[in-house]
Amino acid sequence: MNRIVIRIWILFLAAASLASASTIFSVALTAGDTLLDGNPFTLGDSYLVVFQLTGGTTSASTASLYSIGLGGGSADPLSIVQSNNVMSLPNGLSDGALTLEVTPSDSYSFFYQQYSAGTDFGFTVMLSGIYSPPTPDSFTFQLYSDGGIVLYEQNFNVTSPSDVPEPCTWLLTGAGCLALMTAGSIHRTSLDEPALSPTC
Amino acid sequence: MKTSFCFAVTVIFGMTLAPPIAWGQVFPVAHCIEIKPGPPVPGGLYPIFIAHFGYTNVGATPVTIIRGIAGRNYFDAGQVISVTTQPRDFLPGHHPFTAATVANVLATSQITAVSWILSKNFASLSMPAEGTLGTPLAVTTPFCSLKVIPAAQFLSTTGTALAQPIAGVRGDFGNPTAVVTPIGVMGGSGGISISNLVYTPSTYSASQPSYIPGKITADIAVSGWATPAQFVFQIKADGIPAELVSVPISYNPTGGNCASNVTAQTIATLGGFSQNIVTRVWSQTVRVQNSGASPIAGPVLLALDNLSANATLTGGNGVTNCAIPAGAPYVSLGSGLAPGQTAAVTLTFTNPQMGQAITYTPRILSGGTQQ
Repeated sequence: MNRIVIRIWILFLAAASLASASTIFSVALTAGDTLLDGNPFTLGDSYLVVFQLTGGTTSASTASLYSIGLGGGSADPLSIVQSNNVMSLPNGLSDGALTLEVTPSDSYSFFYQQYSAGTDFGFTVMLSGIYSPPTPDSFTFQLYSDGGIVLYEQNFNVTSPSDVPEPCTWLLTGAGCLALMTAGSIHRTSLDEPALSPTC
Repeated sequence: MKTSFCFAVTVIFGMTLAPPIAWGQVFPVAHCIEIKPGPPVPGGLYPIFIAHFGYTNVGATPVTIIRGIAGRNYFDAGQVISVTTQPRDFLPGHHPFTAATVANVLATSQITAVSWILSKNFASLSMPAEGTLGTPLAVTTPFCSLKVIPAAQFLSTTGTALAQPIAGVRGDFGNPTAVVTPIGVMGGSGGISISNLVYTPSTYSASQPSYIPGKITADIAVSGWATPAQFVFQIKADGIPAELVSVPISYNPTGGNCASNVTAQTIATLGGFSQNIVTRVWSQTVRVQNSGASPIAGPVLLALDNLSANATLTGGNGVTNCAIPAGAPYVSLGSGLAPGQTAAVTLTFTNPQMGQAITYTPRILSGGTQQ
């Protein structure tokens, strides 16, 4: 059976002096990866890319996306739909970066754009905020078909518990940095694993 | 003379601390502390710490308390705070601290930050304090009340429930039957009367060893209730006002019993929300773990208390009308949870006001025939 593969790597960035901790996730899809409907992620197919940041108890977070790579694909700037609390360049995905934000007065931030797939698709997102129980703020990446079917979904919660990182966070920070320095390619993990929600 | 004096008193309950003495036959009683103005002494007034706690030697032989850990001292009635550590013998049956003045701050005292361990299992007392001679006392609000544990019992809307446990009591406060004051009713109307109030003192189990809280029971007659409500009353013991105690009165027309609230025995982990932009359905995954040592009987339910008005739970299994607070939508978590076991459920909501967060407080219900 064709193993469902998505590339995800994680880097915790934290510093004791920071007012809140940040967490970095990267997601990568490659042509041939199996999606939720059983079909492969296909070069040339049209998909709707959706980024969401939803507020929880605090609704005080940002999701900064960068290194958005279309793998030779193309995104239609006229198809962009976004909420007020999104900062993006005119071409959206093609410009490679955008930022979503939620606040107590506006706890939902979203960005949609239609795009034609290349050989791969990937991005890195840095989540900043402070987790206040019980409900975390949460970043979601979704891929929809032209028919409105969810083909892929990945959630990352803002789970920074406090201003000062715990020892295991430092350990992960070091591990992440080491991975960045040494890994020529991105670590591969299975898509059918549960959404990552790293906590110490 | 410039004066300044400040005290911060913290009593922490439920802590488990390393025993500095042989605790096998000594156990703590009560817990409560208040600060009162002391008698005038040269230079001004000084506080008296009145601690309604202490130890009882339940054994047959004396126990000697010695100083245990550096920086942690033990004090006795009348002991000057800054002087510590003399050995203290507890004779069998000796109950030295109850309702006693345990420390006076004298004119010669210079208080520094110190802490005391006052019990093995129930209380830790720290008094970060500083003072100077001749300081008039700024009286700190008395921090002293009978600690009560509302019983998780639900009364039928009609009839008389005999010997209902209405509160647990930690500590030896004498006979708390002196005053039972009805305060009011929240959430409904009807008749209620209380009689045959019985106080069972707290006891010590040497075999555990553990301290078993006392309890208060009464015959409670209710009638005429149409909706769930809570009856609130107050207990006083030896003139000490207790916390308010509320007893839920259920609306239970079918005669079944209400599901029990077992939230305290669980850990509920709420995930973040996401929206399907086509169906406009919001989703959230919730995981509930039985963190206790005993199984949670089924059906196990997740109720959403105080769900924000912008959101509606879809696909729920019902709304509470017996296990109060009523009106909370709930979903099933399964037929039971063994100790350590986790159940997960994906909740779905509608939220027409997308810019407003969906908020609620999770409540875990167990068993019963009425939710």
